[in-house]
This record gives sequence, C-alpha cells and structure tokens, in this order.
Amino acid sequence: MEKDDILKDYGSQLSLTEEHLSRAGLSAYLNGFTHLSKKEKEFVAAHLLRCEDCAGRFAEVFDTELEFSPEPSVLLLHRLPGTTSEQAMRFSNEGGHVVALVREDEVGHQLTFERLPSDIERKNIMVSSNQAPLVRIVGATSRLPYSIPGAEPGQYTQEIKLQIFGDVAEQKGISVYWKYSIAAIILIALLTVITIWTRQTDQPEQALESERGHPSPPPPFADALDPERFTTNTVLEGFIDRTVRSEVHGRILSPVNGDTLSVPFLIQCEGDAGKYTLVLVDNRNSPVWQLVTSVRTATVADSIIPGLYYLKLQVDGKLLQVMKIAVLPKN
Amino acid sequence: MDSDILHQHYFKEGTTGHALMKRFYARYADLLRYANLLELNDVVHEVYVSISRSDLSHVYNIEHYIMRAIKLHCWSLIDNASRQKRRSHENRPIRTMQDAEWSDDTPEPPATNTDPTEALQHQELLVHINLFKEFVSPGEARILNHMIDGTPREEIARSLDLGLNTLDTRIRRIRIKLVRYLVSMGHFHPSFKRFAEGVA
Repeated sequence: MEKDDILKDYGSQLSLTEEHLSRAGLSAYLNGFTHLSKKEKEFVAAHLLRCEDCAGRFAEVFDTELEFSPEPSVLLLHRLPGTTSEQAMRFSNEGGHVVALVREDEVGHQLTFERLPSDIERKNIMVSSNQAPLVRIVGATSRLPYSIPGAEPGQYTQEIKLQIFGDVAEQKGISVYWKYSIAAIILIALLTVITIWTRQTDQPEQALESERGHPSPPPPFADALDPERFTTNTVLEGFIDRTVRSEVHGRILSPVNGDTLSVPFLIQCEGDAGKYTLVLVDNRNSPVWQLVTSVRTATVADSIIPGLYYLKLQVDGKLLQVMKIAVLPKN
Repeated sequence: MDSDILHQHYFKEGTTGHALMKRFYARYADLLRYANLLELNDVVHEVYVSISRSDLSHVYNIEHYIMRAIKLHCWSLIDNASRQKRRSHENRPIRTMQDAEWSDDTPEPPATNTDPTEALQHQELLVHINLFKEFVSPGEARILNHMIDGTPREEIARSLDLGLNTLDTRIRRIRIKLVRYLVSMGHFHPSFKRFAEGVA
C-alpha cells in the first residue's frame, strides 16, 4: 500500500479491492460520472457487473434519485415502421431527435443511441417499457452499445419510455471570485460610459466657457478610467495564489485578492518578525508605491490613478505573495 | 459562505435543499432510526454540520455543489443506518461468565468486507474526492484524475501540454487544497503532514 501518497493509495485500492459499493459511492458515480477518473469508473462498473447485491443497490439509488429529481424529462420512443431485424425507435421534440437502435445478437439485446441531442448526452437515462425498467444508463453517450439484461424478444417493440435526469454533464459555473471580477468590470464599463457621456454633455458648456475666456478645470478622473489600465498582466497573474517556499513566513491579510478599493486603503500583514517590503505595481509591473516596514499595517494614501494593480509582499528581495486589486475613484 | 446564509438558502424549511432531505427522510425514516436519527431535523442537522465544515468560498458552482453534497450526505447517513441495523440484528453467540469478565476490554472482531452493506474508508474517499472536484478548476480536476489513475508525470504533462515544472507546481497546489479539504472532512493519512504548511 502506498502510504506516502493518499492518491496513489486510493488509486491502487480501487484496482485491488473487492469491496462492496455503498449507496453514497453509487450516488457519487451517478452524479459525478463525467468527472470521474478512469480507475474510479472501472472500479464501480466492474463491481456492478459481477455483484448482484450491489447491482440491486445501484437500482435503488438510481430509482430514488430519479424519483427525487425535480423535473426529469420523459421521452417516449416509438418504433419506426418497416424495421425488422434491427429495431429502430425515434423520438422527436423541439430540441432534436433521438434514434435508438436495438440489436439482438449472441450476447442478447443491445441498445444504441445514434445521436443524442446535446442536452441529453451524458445524462442518466432510465429506459423502461410499460413501467418496467429495462436498463439504467449512467452518462449516456451516443454510439455506445448498452446491453438490456433479460429483454424478451419483441419487448422493445412496445412503447418505450426514457426518463432523463441528473446533471452529470453540467458545466462548472463561475467562482465567486470571478463573479466579483465580472461585477467590477461591468461597474468600470458603466463608469466609463457615464464619464464619456458626461464629457460629451459638458462639451457645449465648456466651449461656451472657453469663448468667455474662463476655461473650466477638467472633470476628476475624466482621463483616468482608461480600459487599458484595467487589463490583466498575464505574468503577474501567474504569481497569484502561488505557494512560495521560504524560511520566512508572511502573508497579506487585507485587502484580499480581487478586492475593489479606493485610496486611502489599509494593508495588513502577518508573519515572522523582520522587515517586509510592500510594493504596489500597476498592470505594466511599474511600481507606483513602495514601503519597507517592520510594522504589520500600512496605509496607501497617495494619489493612485484608477486601474488594476498588483500588490507584492517581499522579504529580502524574495517574493512571498502577489495579489490583484482594482483601484477605483472615490466617488 | 456564511453559515447563516447556507442555512437560509439550503437548510431552512421551504428551500430546495430542505425539500430533498425531507424526501430522503420520508423514504428511509424506519432505517434512519437505527442511526438514532429519529426526526427530520436530526437528518437536516447532520447534513448541515457535514457541509458547513468545508470552506465553500472556493466552490465553482455553489448551488450544484450543495445539492450534490446534500444527496451524498443523505446516502452516507442511510449507509450508516443500514450498518447499524445489520449489527443490531446479528445473532451473537451466548458468552460464558468467564468471557463476560473481560469482554468489555476486548475489541469487537474486525468487520469483514464481504458484507454488502460494509463500506470501507476508500469509498468515503470516492465520495469526498469527487465532491472536492467542485473546488478546483476543470484543468486541475483533469490533473487530479491522472494522479488517481497513476499516470506518469511525463505523460500528464504531454497530454495537457504543460512543462514539467508547471505541472509539479499545479500538482503541489492541488495536493495542498485536497489535504485541506479532507482534513476538514475528518480524514487522516500519513502523507498529510508533508502538506501541513498548506493546511495550517
């Protein structure tokens, strides 16, 4: 057993074990099929093939989750006329159509979906005939044969129902961090539009004042909300959240990565005794503010042009942490 | 996510999470009694405590994660109740007085894994590692799967078009996150101490 590495240990146990499957393990298989590793899939599938007890428990978990699923889709498959040795069934709806072929050969009956619509592909499908389950398919895939255990000749010519549920193919959503980032970008875009609009609205008035010989001062931040100042620096992005091995421990407590701030703002750190260097660089990696301090708090009160900045924490020239902050106008 | 928000959105009566646990309880109430879960609120409390242990701020799709986690934790409770039921129904041999004198200090014989209701630790890992995949990016999940499958580093790097140094950095980052998550779920493994600095 690989005691020095939990993942090797886990992976090798999956290959070796004869352990029966728990309901929770089966639910993980059912709901996370798309994201399982090859060994994880093989462990569950191989055991289900050879263990009747676990196959029964799998049916229990599958049917319960299908029943508890908020809105499982139901499709009715109808036999296509004129099909004989290879029975074909079809369902049509707005989202596309399903053609399922049932073949009978020496290993029994096999069901193949010719082409599943994208909203059905990789979902869990219960195929039943007259309320009797025929086959339970996890993560259904087009053109893969699924055996129908115990199917009687001609059974598949009756009305076949497909119940589709599960979110195994669900795309991962966006993280909270990105939600805030997108919100910040929208806010910045909105402010830019308002600023431009305000400038355009003010232009006749300014022109009038110029004619009078009394030029008005430029509006605050009129030229500051430059979108280029908010583009990310791909090199510095790579350092965010990077774990740095160092004899000296230190990290920035606030602000947190992705914060949107306006000057003045407070920086708080923690770590071993000694002098730390805090450096604020713009998105071109040019320092705009720097402080060498042994105190764990610092205030950035300088006039900082609104934009995207990266805050670096250094000790003896060694970079300990990098984080990204957006600086916006005060008002 | 703040624990109050978690409760308000998923565990309070009338929420989808609560409705799901209610259905599990209605179906398995008789079995859950063996695990001393006598009321719906006992189930809700157990699931809430399990889910609130982890730091949900790093989950990519919070709604998806929590609903999946509720289902998995409900099944874990049902698995546990099933084991308790089996044990309570076991016919134990009648012990002599002599046996009884030292029986309190004698540990129970280890459970064999031939019983279909007996799940060992690495199936809990199957559950938790797959929930953990919601905490990492799709790219990191692919690397994690390669690590579970025992794919050599060179092959992973080639298939993901990464340099070996970059891959090593990502692997280390994934391991630290995984250890942090598993520790929060109450797991222990001798290898965890190597990543203690990331967990602390």
